[in-house]
Amino acid sequence: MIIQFCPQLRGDTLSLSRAGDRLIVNGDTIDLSATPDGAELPADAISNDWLVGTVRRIADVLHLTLILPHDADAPESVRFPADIVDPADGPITLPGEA
Amino acid sequence: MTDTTHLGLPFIEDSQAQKHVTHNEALRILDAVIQIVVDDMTRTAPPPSPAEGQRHVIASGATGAWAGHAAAIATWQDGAWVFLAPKTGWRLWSVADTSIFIFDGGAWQALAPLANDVGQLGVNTTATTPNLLSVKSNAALIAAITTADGGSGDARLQISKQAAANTASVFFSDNHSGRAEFGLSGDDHFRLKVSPDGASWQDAFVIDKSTGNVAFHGFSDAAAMRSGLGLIKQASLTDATAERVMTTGAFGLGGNVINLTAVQSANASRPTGFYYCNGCSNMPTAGNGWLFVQQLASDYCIFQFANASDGKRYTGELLNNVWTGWTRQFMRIGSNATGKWTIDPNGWQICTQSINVPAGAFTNSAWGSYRDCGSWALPANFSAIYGAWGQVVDGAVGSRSGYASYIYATFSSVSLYVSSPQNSPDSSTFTINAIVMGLAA
Repeated sequence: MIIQFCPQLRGDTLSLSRAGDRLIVNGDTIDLSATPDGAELPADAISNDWLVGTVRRIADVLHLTLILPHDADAPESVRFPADIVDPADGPITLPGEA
Repeated sequence: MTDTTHLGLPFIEDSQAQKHVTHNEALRILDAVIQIVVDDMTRTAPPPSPAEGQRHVIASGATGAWAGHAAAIATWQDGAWVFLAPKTGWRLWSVADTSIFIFDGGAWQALAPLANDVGQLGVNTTATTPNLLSVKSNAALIAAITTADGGSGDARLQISKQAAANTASVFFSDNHSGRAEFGLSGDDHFRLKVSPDGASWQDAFVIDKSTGNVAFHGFSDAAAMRSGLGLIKQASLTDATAERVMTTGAFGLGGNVINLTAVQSANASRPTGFYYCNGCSNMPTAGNGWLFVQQLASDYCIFQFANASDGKRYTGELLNNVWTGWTRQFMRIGSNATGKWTIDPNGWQICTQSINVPAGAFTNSAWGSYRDCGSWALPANFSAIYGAWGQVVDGAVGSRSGYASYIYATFSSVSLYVSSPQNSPDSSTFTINAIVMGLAA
């Protein structure tokens, strides 16, 4: 799983954790296990506003993009975040988090 | 009778022989007792070589030629001492004592100095009780005895009373009707009293004998006077008690601003003034800052905060004890991987971003072609959208100049649509520059 981020200046926060092909976003579970290899799933097909862009499974690796909320004083590492590659199951440490 | 009654002068008898002897005897007595002046009054033995007519009053315990003549006037006449026993009321002048003495029947009593221990004394007037000393004069002078004359050089007039409840004072009158008095009146505090008529009196001021504090008329004591005159200094630089006198630096004016520490809250109600938040809670941003507070009442305040490191301003208000939160008073400009934003102090927000649209085929129609390019997140969230525009730009602008882009913005994303007058136009990747305006979330 490769998680890309689309940083956005906004007031709320994001809490993320992984359980296999399932992603729990602010308590809402997105189950991507049914997405076959090579398939593309438009964000519109998934009822979660944090997910943007197209979800793809390429070479059996899920690629997805999430909005990363931050405030105006957020550091560079949050405003220009790096991808998170193959995070372990459980809570995912987001850019800028200790 | 052979002698006169008082001075014992011998009479001359009718047929007396040597009448000159008796006459001369009488003259000697007269010479001795009329206008008596003696050399001294302390001798108990005669002087060794007296001059003719030399006189002394013999002291008690006399010996020799003077034995048994105490208090008598001894006169050296014709080579012998003649003794005259004084009678009550005789007066003489003692050269050694520079004083007049009067014989009271038993002893000589000095009157010197003349004015000492007199019962009463009137100068240019008659003294009467209770004014045993009365002076009628246009001025009075007490001049110091200088050190050159053996004095101390001081000049002091002392008025001493018997006890605290009595009065020791100086009294000023208008034609003998009192108008002012100062001194110790009825107690031991120094007071100055005045009267419009000599009958009713009031204290103009009282000086406490122990503390030296001065209480002026209209105030019960020194503390009340200071309070009444508004002369009480504030207890601290932030003492906002009514009518206190402010000192330099009060509420951050004139001196240093008031330093607030970590135990204090930046947005707590406090007296109008200038402060510095040093690690306070509830500051609008990380880091310390300068705080200006204006207070209408304890539940109505406005706070203006300037960040110490970058000078950025924030304001907040306490309205009816409800905190409004801090409002930024500066333009915020920033960027992230999504795009750029500008937010003015009133919340007006402009976002710009370049959206790289991946390659994709257009759908042909009778008038040309179109393509739904999907939804794209904005660099900053909005609470209201007032306008959104987009333009296709990339290295192939020339060939795609006829493209029209349409974007539809939600609070957090834009949806892109691109149309072309051609069928099956260039389907390779292109970029859309988008701008969205509205209110920041």
